[in-house]
Amino acid sequence: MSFAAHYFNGINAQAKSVFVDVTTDSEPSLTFTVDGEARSYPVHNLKIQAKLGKIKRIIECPDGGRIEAHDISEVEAVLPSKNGLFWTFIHYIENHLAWVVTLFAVTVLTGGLFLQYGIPKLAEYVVRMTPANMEDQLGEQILNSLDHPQMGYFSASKLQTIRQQQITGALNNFCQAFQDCPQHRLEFRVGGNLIGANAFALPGHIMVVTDELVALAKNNTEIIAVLAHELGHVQQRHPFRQSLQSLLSGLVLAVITGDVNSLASGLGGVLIQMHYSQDHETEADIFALNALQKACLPPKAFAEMLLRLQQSQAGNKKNQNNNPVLQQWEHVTDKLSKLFSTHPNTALRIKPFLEAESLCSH
Amino acid sequence: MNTAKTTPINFNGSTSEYFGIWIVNVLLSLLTLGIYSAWAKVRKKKYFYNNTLIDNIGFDYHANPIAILKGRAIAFGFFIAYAFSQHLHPFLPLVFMILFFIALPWLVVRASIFNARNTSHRGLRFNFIGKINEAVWTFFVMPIVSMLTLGLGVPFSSHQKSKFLVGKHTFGNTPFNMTATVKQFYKEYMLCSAGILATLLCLLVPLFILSKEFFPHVNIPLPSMPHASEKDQFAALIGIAVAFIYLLLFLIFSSYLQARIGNLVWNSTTLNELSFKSSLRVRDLLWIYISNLLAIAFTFGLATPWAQIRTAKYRASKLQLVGNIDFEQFVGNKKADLKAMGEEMADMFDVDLSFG
Ligand SMILES: [Zn+2]
Repeated sequence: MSFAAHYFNGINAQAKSVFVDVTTDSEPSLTFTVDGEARSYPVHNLKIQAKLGKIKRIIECPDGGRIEAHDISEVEAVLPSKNGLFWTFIHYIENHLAWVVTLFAVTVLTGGLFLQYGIPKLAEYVVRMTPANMEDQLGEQILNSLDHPQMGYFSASKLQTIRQQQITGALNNFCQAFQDCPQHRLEFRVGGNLIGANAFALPGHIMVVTDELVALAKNNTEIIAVLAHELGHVQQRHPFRQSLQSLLSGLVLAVITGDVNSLASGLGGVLIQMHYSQDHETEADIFALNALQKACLPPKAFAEMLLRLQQSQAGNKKNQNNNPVLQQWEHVTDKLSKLFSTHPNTALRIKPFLEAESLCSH
Repeated sequence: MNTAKTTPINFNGSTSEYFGIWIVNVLLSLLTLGIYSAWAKVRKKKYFYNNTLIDNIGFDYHANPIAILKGRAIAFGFFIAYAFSQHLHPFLPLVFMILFFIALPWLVVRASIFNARNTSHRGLRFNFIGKINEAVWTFFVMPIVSMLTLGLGVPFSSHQKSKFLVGKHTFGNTPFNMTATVKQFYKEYMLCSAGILATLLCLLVPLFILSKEFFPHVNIPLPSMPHASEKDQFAALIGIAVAFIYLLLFLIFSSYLQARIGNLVWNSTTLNELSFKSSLRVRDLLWIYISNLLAIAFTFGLATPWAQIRTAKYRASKLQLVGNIDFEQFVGNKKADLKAMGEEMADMFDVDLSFG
């Protein structure tokens, strides 16, 4: 068996036409004569480049020589069968559309599953491995960036110091009665147009309550009820886990799109607008209900405050703009968000709070 | 005067064949969170190099995917650090930029060496023998000079760059030589500036007249912020127009320089007795770039392989070798020497720091 090829000796650029003999005795080898000199290479010493498109097949010799030929099936016939199997497979996929489509489907599916399940698992693991003071630093940074005037999220609270002290005092009393509060720090801010009446838990045991929420509450108990829910998030380190999750998904997207900048600049905003998963909300609700009962506060305060908050947010949205195109758009996104909502249905959510019996005698 | 023999450069790649390679590259890179992208780069380069033929013999690309992966990991880490540095201190990104600028000459030399040594033709490797101090002159001093002279030094800087990047390459042990003069570079840049100025006038004067004549009365509903006044809408329209003009000017500018400077450099470059004939045309390149952009945008990227193949085809078709080619005269190092050279590199530098 023999095939026609070009041989390059690796010392000068001249192509030499050769006929390569494939010997198939115990030790398969390639032999050919170039410039009157016979050369022989055992096949296992040669590097046979993977098949690629319809380009010539290339065999690299250990001494820097190179054999180029259109067809080397005779060499491949004497190679061990598992030689270069991966690249043979890749070459096959590249040339078969059905396989390309299959690979496409696999990619989309894997990507979806990874974002849905892989990242939360990964985030949970990282949370467990991260020392608390690192989380505190992160929380401080996030609060700073949210306070930055250019970001337009928070501005300094206009509540009187006395009022702030009242609320902080009420929270302390509540924690003393409940006895199981996690470490926390309460901050007051003006929510403004973007945030309005709301309360958040940030990484690093920070809780933020807006002036608007304080104004919306009928009494301190309602504020404490909302903060009890946020304390549930703090205790489970949800904010930190959630920020890691968005950071990790952002990293994945950055790898894919090559856009790293958007990832860093958007972190604060992502955190404020993020929604916890249904599981996280339920966990925080269970914590709040238990805490309110133990502290002898009426659980229905949480239900009433939640309803009022929802009404205020809905009203807020409608007043926000007069542009018909945008209103139409918001209508569509509203419907969509209801379809994919991560918040448990409110009625379902407040039910246990309304039905809960007071554990206190008085 | 005897006409010298010319040898064409052929590009044999086909869109249908490359599409499969490209999409498998993309999908596997996604599936492996970018790790396969190093192998993908080698496969892509091998496809393009091996399909670029002189006298029916192609080029080859030999880079080790692991070296490429290392380079990408370093670059990615650097970008992450850069992106997050602004959260630590507002001046940190600037520090990063300055560090990058200082490291640039070294990066250029490393990247050129990596690319050249991993490229071969007819069993002979290319090489890059530029020194770091020359790179400092070309990529550190020259940009500063260009800035201080308010752009007047740009053609000189461009000349120095071509002379360094072309003239320090070797095929085997045979060096390339570029003889274009600074004067020729100034001529091309002046023609280009004049052309840009003329285009700008042609585009801006009618736009200015149009805006004066019509816009006060036209009210186009734009999906803008609430209470958008007519003034805002007008500003938005102008903004879109400016962005388009900017993109167009950029494309014209880069097509012009690529074609004219490319021709100038190739036509004044020799390799022993061989010389080159490059006949790129500005309007061809401009058309290729604009249609590529549109095709890629409208097919959500699926036209990328088509765009890459046709660009390679065009570029190869416009470059010829002039003179009798005696390949026997091109000599390289023996494999043993190459190996020693490679090991020196492997010690700390076998990392692909080039872009793309
Ligand atoms: Zn919650």
